[in-house]
Amino acid sequence: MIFIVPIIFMIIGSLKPDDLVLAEMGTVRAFIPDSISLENYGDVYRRVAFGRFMLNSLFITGTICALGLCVNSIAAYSFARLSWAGRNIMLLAVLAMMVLPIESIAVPLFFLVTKWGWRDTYLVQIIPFIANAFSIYLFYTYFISMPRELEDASRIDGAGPFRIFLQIIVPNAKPVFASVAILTFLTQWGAYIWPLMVTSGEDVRPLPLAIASFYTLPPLKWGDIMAFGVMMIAPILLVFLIFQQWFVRGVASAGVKG
Amino acid sequence: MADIQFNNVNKIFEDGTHAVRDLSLVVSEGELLVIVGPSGCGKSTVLRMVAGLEDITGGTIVIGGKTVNNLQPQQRNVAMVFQNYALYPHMTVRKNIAFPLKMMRLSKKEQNLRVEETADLLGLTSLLSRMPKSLSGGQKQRVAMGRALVRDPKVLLLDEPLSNLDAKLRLQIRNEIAALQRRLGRTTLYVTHDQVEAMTLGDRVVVLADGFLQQVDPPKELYESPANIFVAGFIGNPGMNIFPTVLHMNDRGRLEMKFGADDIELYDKAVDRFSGLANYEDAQIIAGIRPESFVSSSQNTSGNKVSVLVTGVETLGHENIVYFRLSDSEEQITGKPFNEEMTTGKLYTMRLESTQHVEAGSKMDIDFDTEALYFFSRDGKAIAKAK
Repeated sequence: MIFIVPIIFMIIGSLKPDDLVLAEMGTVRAFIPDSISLENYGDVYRRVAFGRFMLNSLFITGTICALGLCVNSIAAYSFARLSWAGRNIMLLAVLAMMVLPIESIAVPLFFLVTKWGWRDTYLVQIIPFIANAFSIYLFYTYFISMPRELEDASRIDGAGPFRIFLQIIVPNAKPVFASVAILTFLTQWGAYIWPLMVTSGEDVRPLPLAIASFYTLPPLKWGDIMAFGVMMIAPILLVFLIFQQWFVRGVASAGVKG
Repeated sequence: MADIQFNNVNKIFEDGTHAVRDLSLVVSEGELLVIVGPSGCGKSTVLRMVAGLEDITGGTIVIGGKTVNNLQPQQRNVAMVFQNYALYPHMTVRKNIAFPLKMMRLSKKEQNLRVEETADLLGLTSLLSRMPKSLSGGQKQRVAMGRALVRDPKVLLLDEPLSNLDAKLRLQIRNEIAALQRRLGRTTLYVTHDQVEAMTLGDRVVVLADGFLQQVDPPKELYESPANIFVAGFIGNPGMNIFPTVLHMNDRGRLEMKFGADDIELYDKAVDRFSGLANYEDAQIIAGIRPESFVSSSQNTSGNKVSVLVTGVETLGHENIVYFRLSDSEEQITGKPFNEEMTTGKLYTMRLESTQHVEAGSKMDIDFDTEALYFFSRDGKAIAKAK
């Protein structure tokens, strides 16, 4: 209830005239969309470059998701199934990195990207987040539990390592791909601290920074803020709804409680 | 088709486990050779080495005159059926069977033709559009066979293919595999831990234990002339009763064998079956007798009556498996110098017809024909039979 009520309040509030949002708060009427209007949504577009922020967020998050799925799944597969020198130490290092929050390495990383001249770019918001220890861990636990005979059979049938990965492993690992996609999307969609540190202009800034500055943009209009919020969470809900069946199965079979 | 030669093949895993030791063996072209042994004896490792899924630590494997040690699995032209079938879950039966052909880059037309031929051979035509998860165990097993056979491999490897099936289906598929192999005449290595499968399917059977080849012979030979006490105990269901004993000459100048507290006189025929059995007079040896060679003394003809204590009875319908001891004492048999306790405390088994009523806890008199006895030296090797 604590989670869902504010969302309902936000959605209905976004459809009401601005002055009614606060006036009806605390009453049952706050949850009754009596006079529906999309004016607040239009307002958001008029007052800020919402489309730009949305595109930035979609591009950054989408790219991290897509590249992250490729890189992390391949890395995890090589940990789970291929044998190479130093594999166990590297795996341990990856698992250890899971406990490090981005904030703890933000400052040294900031100096590094400043030196490389990456500030105020998409690159700086994408590259550091493609490889992800938790994603590798999720893929690894899934791959390690897949029957080895599937790969043995396909090797005998004549498939090489890449074909085995693409045609046998990936199609049978949809749940974990969905889980990693959703978790990565959620994390990156809400990224705030890092973009705040490395971006300054509107051109490359994502939605979380935009909504933060929208709060302080006079005049204060709660209906507009609600509309901004609704538009910001819509893609997350959409992604979650599309993948939720696989997501639940993936998290369960990876042995990680959500 | 091709023959397979194992020349002093060894496999040592990274953790130091010596899984296969000095295996030398020739599998003839078109032969169905069954490898049987208890869990962990190295039988699946042998198969995986032939397939190229495990490196060979020492020795060579030659398939059709070509040493394959350094060839990748796909270069060996072998096919394998796995215990859990390893069907690709996301592909239809048709795509599963066609997968090896796709890897061979055959044309779509050729792929379809061969898939349909194979499906026809195995009765899978109506299942071609189904997904593996909707198939029964027996159907999955047939699809796995189809995927193995479709590419016309030189060698077919079957790794416990019936283990996941229920008893009735196992019997049916076992017969199907036997018929298919006879029809196709393909060189086949078949691994199982089930000696009934081994005996019924194999042209010859290899018995492995602890990585060592114990014996390789046709099934009948294996049953009738086990090379050592391991094979004697492993082949047969239940396995042979094995116990230490001593032979000595009685007053009438005939050999007698200690069996519990009793002295059993051996008939001339029993002695003559083995070359030089008389040389073991007063020596400690190991004797064996199959459960089916005991009879209840009401059917007695030989006069070697022994009183036993029945400790348990398993009713199988057509027969009973009866467990008994020669006395009430607890068991301990091999490895130590002979004493009477070793034979009296041991648990023996015998098969009796179900018409003979026996109860656990009762005493009964049994008998056996001494011609049914086997003898092994103290190191476990069979004493050679007379020619």
